[in-house]
Amino acid sequence: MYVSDFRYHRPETLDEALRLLEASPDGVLLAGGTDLLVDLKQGKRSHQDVISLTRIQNLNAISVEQDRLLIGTAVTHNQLIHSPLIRAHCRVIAEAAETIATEQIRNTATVGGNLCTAASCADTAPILIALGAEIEIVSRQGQRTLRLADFFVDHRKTALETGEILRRIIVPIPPQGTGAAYQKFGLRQAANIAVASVAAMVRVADGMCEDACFVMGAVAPTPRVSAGAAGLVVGRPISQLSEGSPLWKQVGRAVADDAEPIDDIRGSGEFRREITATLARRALTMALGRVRE
Amino acid sequence: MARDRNDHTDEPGEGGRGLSRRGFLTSMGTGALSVAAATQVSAEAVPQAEVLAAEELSKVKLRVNGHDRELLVEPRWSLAYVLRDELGLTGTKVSCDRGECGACTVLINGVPRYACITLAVEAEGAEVTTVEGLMEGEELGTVQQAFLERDAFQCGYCTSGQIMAVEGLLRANPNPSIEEIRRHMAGNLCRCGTYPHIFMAAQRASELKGSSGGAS
Ligand SMILES: Cc1cc2nc3c(=O)[nH]c(=O)nc-3n(C[C@H](O)[C@H](O)[C@H](O)COP(=O)(O)OP(=O)(O)OC[C@H]3O[C@@H](n4cnc5c(N)ncnc54)[C@H](O)[C@@H]3O)c2cc1C
Ligand code: FES
Ligand code: FES
Repeated sequence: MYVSDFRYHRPETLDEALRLLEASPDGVLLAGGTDLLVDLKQGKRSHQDVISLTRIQNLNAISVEQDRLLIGTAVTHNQLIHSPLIRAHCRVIAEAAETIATEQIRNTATVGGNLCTAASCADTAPILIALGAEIEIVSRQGQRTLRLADFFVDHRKTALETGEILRRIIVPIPPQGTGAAYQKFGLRQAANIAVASVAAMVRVADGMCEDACFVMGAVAPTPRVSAGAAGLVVGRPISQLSEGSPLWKQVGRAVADDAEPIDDIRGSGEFRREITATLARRALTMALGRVRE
Repeated sequence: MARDRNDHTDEPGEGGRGLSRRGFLTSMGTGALSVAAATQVSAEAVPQAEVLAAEELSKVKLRVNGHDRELLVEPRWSLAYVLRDELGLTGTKVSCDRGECGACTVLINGVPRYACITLAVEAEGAEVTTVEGLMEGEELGTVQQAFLERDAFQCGYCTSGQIMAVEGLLRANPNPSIEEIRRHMAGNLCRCGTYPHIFMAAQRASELKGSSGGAS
C-alpha cells in the first residue's frame, strides 16, 4: 500500500484534538478511516497531520437525556445496530445502519464519519434528518448546534469550518403518534451503495397527519428534504394516504419532483427519479403502519 | 530489508529514529516519566497528545495472537502490511487493498475488520487475531477444520479472510441461522464462487464448536 506520509497524532481529549486541528493547517480527523484511508490510498487527498479520534473518551457513547437520544460521533454502525437504547427509542436508525456496507465496515465506520464525508448517498443522513436531528459542533472558540438538515452544503461539503469537530448527534425521541421508515434501493443486497433512498417520518393525532418529513438520498448533491411532499400530507386525514390512493401516489411524485438526480454507473437520472417515487410511497406506507397513537 | 528492521521484536533495542519521546516512554509504561516528556515536547506545538512522525519509524506495541510484539512502524502503514511484511504473518491476504473484498479480514478485539484499511498504529492496545492465531498447536482450529471438511475453497486466496469472518461471527453468535451467516459473510468475496461450501463450513464450525463446549 502506498500512502503519502503523514504525522499521526493520538490525542486523549477533545481539547487536545481541537488544539492540534488549530495548529495544523491541513490536519484531518481520523475516525473509522473507511472513507479517509481509501481516499489517501487512491491519492485523492493527502494530509500532513492525521489526528485520530479513537482514544478520546465518550465520543463513542450513546445515552438518553430527557427526551433526547445523544449519539457520539465515533459510534460505529454496529454499535447503533446493537444498542438497546436505539432499539428501544428509535429502532429505525438501527435499520438504516443495517443497510450499510459489510460487517467489517460496520464494525469500523462511524456515524460521524458518515455525516462528515457528506456523500449524498450516506445512509445515516436521511433518517436522522427526518427525525429532526441536530448536531453539536465544537471548536476552540466554543460550541454550536445546527440542524442536521442545514449541515449538508453541497456534494461532499458540509457546514463544518476549519478547526471544528462534530461531537455528537442529538435526536429528539419520537413522541407518541410518530412512525418512521427508511427505504433504500441498491443494485445488490449486500455492500450496497444507494442508487436512491428515502426516509419518511409522519406524526399522527386523531387520525390527522400533524407533521411529516421526507428526505431523499443519492438523488441530489446532498441528502435533500422534500418540502413539496410534506405540504401534501400535513393536515390531511391519514385515511386518504392508504396504499394506492391518489394522494399516496402524488406524494411519491412530489418527492421525485424535488430530486435532482444525475446519471452515473449505478443508474440514469430518469431511472433514479422513478425509483425515488416508489421508495417514497413505500416509506410512507411503512411509516404510517408504525404509528402507535 | 523489512525483515532486518523488525527482526528482533522482543528486544527493547534503541527505538526508532522518529520516535517521539512521549511515544517511547508511554510504550515503556512509565507514566510519571511520560508526563515529564510531554512538557519537553510541548515546543513541537503538540502538547500532550502522542505524536508519531511522518517518514520515520516509531515504536509501537501490538498484541497479535496473544503475543506482545514491539515493532517499528511508519504511521501510514496498514495493519495488513505490518502483519505480512513486518511480522511475517502471511496468512492474512491483501487483494483489493481498499475495504471491498475481505481477503485481509482479521479480528480486532474479537470483531472482524479489514486490516487493509486499518492503520497499524490504530491497532495499538488492541488484541489482533489472524488466521495463524486460530491454530491449536500443530492442529487446525475448529473453523479451519470445518473449511477443510466442507471443501470450502478452491484457489484458497480468500480463504483466510473467510475463516476469520466465520470465527468473528461464531464468537458473537454461536448458532447462526443460514440467513445470519449469509448476511455476516457478505463482506468476503470469493472469486472462485465457493460460497455454498463456505456457508456449509460456517454451519459445520458452529456444530463443532458446540460439541467441543464452545472452546476457542
Ligand atoms: C466498501 C465500502 C462500502 C461502503 N458502503 C457504504 C454504504 O453502504 N453506505 C454508506 O453510507 N457509506 C458506505 N461507505 C462509506 C463509509 O464507510 C461511511 O461513510 C462511514 O460511515 C465513514 O465513517 P468513518 O468513521 O470510517 O469515517 P472516516 O473515514 O474516519 O472519516 C470520514 C471523513 O469525516 C471526517 N470526520 C470524521 N469524524 C469527524 C468528526 N467527528 N468531526 C469532523 N470531521 C470528521 C474525516 O476527517 C474524514 O474527512 C462504504 C465504504 C466502503 C469502503
Ligand atoms: S484487501 Fe482488505 S478488503 Fe480487500
Ligand atoms: S477460493 Fe478462490 S477466491 Fe475464494
